[in-house]
Formats: sequence, structure tokens, C-alpha cells
Amino acid sequence: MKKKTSPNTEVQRLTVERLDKEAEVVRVESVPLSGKYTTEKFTKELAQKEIEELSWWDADSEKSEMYRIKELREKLGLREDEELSENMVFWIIKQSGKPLMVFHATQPARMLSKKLYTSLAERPKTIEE
Amino acid sequence: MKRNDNLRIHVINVGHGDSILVEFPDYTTGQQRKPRFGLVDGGGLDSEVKNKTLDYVNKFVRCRLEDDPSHAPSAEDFIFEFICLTHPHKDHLYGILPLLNAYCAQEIPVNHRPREFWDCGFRYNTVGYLGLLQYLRDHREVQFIRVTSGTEFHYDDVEVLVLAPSVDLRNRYDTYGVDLNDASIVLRLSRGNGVAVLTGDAHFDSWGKVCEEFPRKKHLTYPPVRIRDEETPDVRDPNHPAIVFLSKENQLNCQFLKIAHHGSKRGTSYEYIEKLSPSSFAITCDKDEWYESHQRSWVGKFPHPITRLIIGEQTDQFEVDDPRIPDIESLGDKIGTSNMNGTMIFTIKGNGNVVRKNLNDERNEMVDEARLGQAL
Repeated sequence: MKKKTSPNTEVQRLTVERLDKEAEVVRVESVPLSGKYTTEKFTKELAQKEIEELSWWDADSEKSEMYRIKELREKLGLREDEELSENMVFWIIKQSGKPLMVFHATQPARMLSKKLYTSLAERPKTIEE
Repeated sequence: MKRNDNLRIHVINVGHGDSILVEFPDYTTGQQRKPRFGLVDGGGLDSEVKNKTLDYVNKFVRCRLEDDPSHAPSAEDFIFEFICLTHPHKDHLYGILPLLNAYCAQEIPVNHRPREFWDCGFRYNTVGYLGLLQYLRDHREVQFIRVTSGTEFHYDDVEVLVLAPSVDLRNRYDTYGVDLNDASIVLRLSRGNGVAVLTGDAHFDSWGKVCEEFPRKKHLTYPPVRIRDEETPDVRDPNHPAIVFLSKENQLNCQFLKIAHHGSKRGTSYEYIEKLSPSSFAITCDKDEWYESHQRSWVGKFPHPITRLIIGEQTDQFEVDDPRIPDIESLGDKIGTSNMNGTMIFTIKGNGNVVRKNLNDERNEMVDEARLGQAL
């Protein structure tokens, strides 16, 4: 029988904004999944393809969060040999407020930023074109 | 319309964050004059200050234009030259979004829209920044430009030279080695002998590259050629063995400096302050209470004691016999901070003199339009 995702499951996109090793703290941008998309659709279709769309995320509900580096590493379930750096992106699937699964999503995020950059670098088309 | 023949730097009080309006001398064609300006960063760290830059730009435009009772607004009234996002951290970025929404709206004449958007080229992965790129992709009338050190723009007699980021640093963005603050666009604005440097949040790596790429200029002088023992002073010999080098011109010398990274200890070092040798400073930081109430006291005081010490040394306020770290008040009127003076307007005269006017607004209150009008 197909296991259904619990209704209190939520997805959060987390970007490491600023990592201060001296003060041992980290600032992250936290954005929830947009109400237009369901957690099921996200986990089963989109995340598996390792692509990212900006429309998934509810940018208006963005907030900054501060963590101790150790605390965030634990939250993300990083091993000791796994590095935590600025500009890294994670998708966290939470259930009842607790992380259920963490995807390291820096690569799809970089692909998206590259796509946007490339489109911006294109020469604007003239009317004749 | 009020006239402006000076380069003016409006440092808007957005608390912890940068939002700087650069006002160029009026664009003149025949009898017509138009205000001409650009924006460097937009502040917007939290909801209290997110719309402050937009409000300030609106009031600034109104104050500049409505002085003349016979004024009738037209599509040619002002020129919004550029928006420069020094780097995409939240305290520089988030105030730009409402501004773009307002000035690129369909009902706004094309001539009133920002002409260019300058970007540092660091592909940041936050939703806020990616959203901004998407917005610009959908509004192609705003030309997107990745600037790098050496890029020059000219607005009549004002030269805007990009000092950073260097190409060398930019080529390393793809690895995780470059701190985003070091990707900051640093601008040098000069008019006559008046020079202002706007630094974003540039740290030591960035300043190292700036000092390397903009050394003191060496000038060659060629001794005169003597022909048949007759002195011909107008003819110079470039192959003469006794070419003389004069190394006098310091390309980084400035009168006004927006201290990097809100006065943090990582944005200021004595070596580069000595090279820049500014006489007037601005620091964009919030009050101590704000840092304490927002759990940001871990970053230390703003401006950091080390920064105050360096500025004190530069402005001859620091005595070796009395080695106490100077507080901001004791540094005199050469240094303005947004947490004490509110929004500040610095006029950079062509002879190098700098005059400051304070609007004394709090971070969470909009600037008083009447007071702004008087200051312009």
C-alpha cells in the first residue's frame, strides 16, 4: 500500500548566507514551500530530478535564522568530514517540526542561477529579430 | 527645479545595511536641466526598513522637481542612471526589490526607469537574489551589467571607476574560497579634485587586490634633445638613457570614504586607509540596542573598536601617550554614522571640500520631506 505523506509535513529551503567561523555562528535564509505545491509532488517528482524552480518557494515568507555552527550541522545531519560553507543550499522535509529528510541541493540551485545568469547575459533581441 | 552642480552622496539611514543615492550634477541640454542619479544598494534587512529606500527616492525626486511652481512633470524630468548591487547580502538587496517594482511598473514612462543594473557576478543561491535575477530577466529594459575592476562610466564630468571586484577574485567565485563580502563592488567617483569611494562590504582580500591593481601612477619625463649644441626644449627624446620617473599620483587618494562593512573589524585596515587618506567618513550601522535585541551582539560593536582606532589614527585623534580607543563623538565632525546622524548628505565639491548635512531620522521612520527639501 502506498504510504501517504502526513498532512503536517512541510518543506523548507535553507541557504547558508553567512558563516562566521570565529564567532561559530551561521546565518541562513529559510524559505517554505509555496502553498501552490504539495509536499508529495515535491518529494516524489521534483527533488528526484535534482532540478529547482524558483516558483516552488514562497519568497514572501522568507526569514533569516541564526544558528550555532554545531547546532546547524546537527540539524542537517552532516558528518564530521562534510564541510559546511556559505552559499550551500538544503531542502529539509520536516514532519511535526522535526527534520525527516535533508537533501543537499546546492547543485540544482547553482544550475538555476547559471540559467538565469545566461539569460541575462544574452543580447536583447531587436524588433527585426 | 532646484539646481545641482555638485556630486552629492546621500547615505540613507536603513539601520544595519547600505543604501546610498549618488546624485550627479544636473544633466543639461540647452536650457533644460534634469536631475541625474544612481543608487548603490537598497538596504532592507527587515520589514521596518524594506521600503525606506523607495520612499527616499520618491521624496528626493519630488523635492528636486517641485521647487519650480510652473513645473509640469514630463517623461524627460529625471534620469535614473543605474542601480548598483554591491553584493547580494540581505542588508544591501531587499530594499531594491520594491524600488524596481515601483520604477519599472508598466505605467512608469520608460525614461524614468533605471537604465542599468550593476551586479558583482557572484551567483548567490538565496531565493531573494534569484528572484531579483528573474525580475530583471522579465524587464529587459534595464540593462544587466557584470562590472569588474577597471570598468569606467562617465556622467558629464563625473567619472565612476570600478575598483573591485578584481577579475582574479571573480574567477574564483565558483569555488567556495571567496567570501561574498569580498565580491563587493567598490566604486571610485571623481569630479575635479573631489573623490569619493563607496566600498560595499569589501574585506581584506578585496582591498589587497585593489591596492595591487591601482598602484601609484608613475609618470615619465623625457629630457630634451640637444641638436648641434642648440637647446630645443620642445623636442623630447623617449630613448634618452636618463628617463626620469616621477611617482607622485596616488590613484586611490580620496576625500570621502564610506567605511566598508558597517565599520566591522574585517572591513578596515590601517594600510588601505593610509593609501586612501580620506578626510571625511561615513559609517552605515545601527544602534547598540538593535544588535543586542536581534541576537547579533556576537559580531561585536559597530563600528568596531579597531575601526575607531584606525580612524582616530588617520584623523590625528589618537594619542600614543593616551592609548584609549576613541569613541565616535570624540572623532569630531569628520565622521558621520547613520545610527547617530540619521540620513546624511555629503556634498563633494570640485575643489575636494566635503560638506555634510544630517537629516537625523531614525531607522524605522521615513525621512521628513520638508527637511530633505531644505537640505538639497
